[in-house]
Amino acid sequence: MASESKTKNLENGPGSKTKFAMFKRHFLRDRQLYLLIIIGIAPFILFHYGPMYGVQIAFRDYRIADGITGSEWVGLKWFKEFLTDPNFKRIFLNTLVISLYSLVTFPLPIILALMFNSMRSRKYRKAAQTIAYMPHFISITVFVGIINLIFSPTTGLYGNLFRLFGGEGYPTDFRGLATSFRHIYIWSGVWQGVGWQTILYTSALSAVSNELHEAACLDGASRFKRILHVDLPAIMPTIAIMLILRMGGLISVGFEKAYLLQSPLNLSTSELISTYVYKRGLSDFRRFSYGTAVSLFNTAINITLMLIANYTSKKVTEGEISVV
Amino acid sequence: MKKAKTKQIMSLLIAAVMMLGVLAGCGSSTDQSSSASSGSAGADEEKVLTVGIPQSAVVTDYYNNSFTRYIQDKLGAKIEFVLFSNASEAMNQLALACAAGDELPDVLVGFSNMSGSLMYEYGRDGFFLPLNDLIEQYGTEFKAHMDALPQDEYDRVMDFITKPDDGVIYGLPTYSAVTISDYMQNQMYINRQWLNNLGMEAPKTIDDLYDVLVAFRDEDPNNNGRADELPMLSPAIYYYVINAFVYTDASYPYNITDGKVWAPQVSDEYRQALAYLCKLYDEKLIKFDIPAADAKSTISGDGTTAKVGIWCGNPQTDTNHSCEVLDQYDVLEPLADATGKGGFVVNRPRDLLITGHITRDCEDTELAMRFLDLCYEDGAVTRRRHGEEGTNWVWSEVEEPNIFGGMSHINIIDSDLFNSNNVTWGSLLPSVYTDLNYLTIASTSGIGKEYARMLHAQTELTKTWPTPEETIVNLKLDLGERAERENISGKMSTTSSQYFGLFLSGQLDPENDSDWGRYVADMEACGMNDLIAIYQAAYDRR
Repeated sequence: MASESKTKNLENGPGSKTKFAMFKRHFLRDRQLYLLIIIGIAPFILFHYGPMYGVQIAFRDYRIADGITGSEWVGLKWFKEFLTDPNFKRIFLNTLVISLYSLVTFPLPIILALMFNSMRSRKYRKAAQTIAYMPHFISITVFVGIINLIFSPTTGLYGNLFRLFGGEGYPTDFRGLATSFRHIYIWSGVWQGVGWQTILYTSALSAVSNELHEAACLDGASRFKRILHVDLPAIMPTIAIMLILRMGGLISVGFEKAYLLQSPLNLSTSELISTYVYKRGLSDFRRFSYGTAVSLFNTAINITLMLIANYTSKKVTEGEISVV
Repeated sequence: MKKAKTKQIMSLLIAAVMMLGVLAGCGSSTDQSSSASSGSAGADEEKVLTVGIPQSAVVTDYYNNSFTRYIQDKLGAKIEFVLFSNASEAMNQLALACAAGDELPDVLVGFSNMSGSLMYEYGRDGFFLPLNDLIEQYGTEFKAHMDALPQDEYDRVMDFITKPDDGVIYGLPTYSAVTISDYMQNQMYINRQWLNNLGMEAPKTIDDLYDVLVAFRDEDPNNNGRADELPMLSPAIYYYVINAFVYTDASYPYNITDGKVWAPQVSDEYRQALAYLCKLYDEKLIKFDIPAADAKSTISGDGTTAKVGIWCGNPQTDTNHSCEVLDQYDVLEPLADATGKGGFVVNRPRDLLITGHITRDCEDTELAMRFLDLCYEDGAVTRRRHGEEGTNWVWSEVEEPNIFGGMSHINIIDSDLFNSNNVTWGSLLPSVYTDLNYLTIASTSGIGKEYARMLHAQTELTKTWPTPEETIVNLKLDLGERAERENISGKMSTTSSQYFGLFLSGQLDPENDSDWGRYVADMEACGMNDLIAIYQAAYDRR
């Protein structure tokens, strides 16, 4: 054993030494740049890796006074409670359906980015892009307020338009229909986010060489054919990476908007894992352990999905496109 | 060379500043309290009390505030505030501050969402201090008010704030000795003018209600030639109509009949009520108010023409008090079901909340207790509710009836207090309200004459309305039972709301046996029967 490691050391020795020496030399030379990296890394360690220490409360009966390590160890109690909750099946399905639905809208920013890219007038394109980004900067609370105002059948734009075009009385209140919650949730999200999501694709498109387009033109390719055979293949790696990352967040449906759009009438579709955890774990009961356990459960599913997507992408592209 | 050195120093400085900027977000609410405590360190001659309070939207300034000045003068100490966000979110902030080991303010007031079991937990874990001895020594105002209560109410209040197993008190109450708002929360108001226009009587049964609503929808009762009437508007808490079928208190959804506890939410009557509500909803006779903020503007109509036939709710929170159309509405008496059996109004005992605590970080507990006790002083209660005498209200020479039927001396002259002000603290403080603290009817024109009329008429009427003889509200549960109740009722409320949405949207049919069976089975899976057993045991040992 000892001789083995010695041999290994001998084998790697000079190489490692050189590597270390090189790193040392680079570090000393670029120390100011390394110093700058700290700015990026420190919050990451502080806010992402640091709190992981607290994940153990998912397996404990956390009591504020006893602290994280002092609370009683209860094993999988909270996971069992969540999985045997009579509401579990419904809220898990709700979350899954809304996630898959949102996946359907994945191509929209790509299409929009291609459209922006094909605009002839540079000025017009810039203006259109800026307008499309804008809704991204509206806070979720204000945004839900806007949705409520627009869709109010009594005082909102929707009700007024209904009456303007000859409708009698008040139209159906979509905000209170369980069947329309998902559509409102997803399509309002598209309206708010689609412009912003084009940024990555737009920047990838700007890297496409003009020569390729010129060559395609010479070959008689129409504008649409050029999009299909020049632009789209060029941004395919970006699309694949975005899709893999999107799969990683599939079950993590945003909490705020769903919670704000919720009412007892649409609860059968609007109660998602995140909102249920907020209600049962934080808001009324302060059961931090329960909330942590469910989040951990969520994360485990997300990681699995992401790894599957990554593996598939690796296989399909023969190892060219993957995130890990 | 020198230039390079300067560059290096500059880049170091920039990096350091950026680092600080990034980490600045790590601050917590203790920043406020620590700055507050630093104030106390420098002021030897003047004592400082830090008060944690959920910030009220109507209070413009807590420091330059006449109530703050009044308290400071009486207490002989300076008040520093640690402001939490609104009441329900404040509970989360408090929990996180405790978990993070932050320094807490000396006293907490206005955390009115604090349940008994949560308070005991904070007490057990040492975050709240026991108040028994402090009350004995410095709680003169509190004790005087409590001693003035009838014995059964005294027992109820003391039971509410005392931990059952060891008799320790960790919080002081806000208690209303006047029967008011709980009746108010579950009433229906009908448009009298519309009824007159159509030549109809106010409905007495649910069948009458259906006929009236159809007429409201189809026969243009507001006479403006447009079909812009909304027959009925109800908040998403939909127990108004259900109480015509079976007594259901949304917060305590169990009933007692002949010594047996049972759940109305799975009863046949409830099933009929759901079917009836689905019918109203299908025929566009009822609109559920989503989000709740819509109600005010909808009830107000365009200011002069009413748009709503019947609305359910609380005139205090759901109406624009000075709105003209309010004079068209009268309180609707509880409806009877199809068999003519009388409907109910929810019978909740008088308001009782826990709103004052002293925390473990308080060094001067005497000062903290004197502050909490001062909140019970009549002068402080009146100031907190109505502002300054002479500016906001005047003391009438003779007693006059107040809006809840008792007698009072307070005539309000400035209604701005209902909007933004810097003369109150907004939140509920520990206090005992008596008739004296309420406004006289004569003076309420400033805050909405019709609003006051409705409250008064309704209070008078509700005194004669039917309520069950026994309810579970006052049953005493031990700590374990309370925890179990919170766990089960949380699941049940989600389940019943989900099913209500499913029934209403037509995805399930309450009259279909298999759909109804699914609902009942899910309610049972939440632990409904366990909770019935808990209440039954509490009832049997009472």
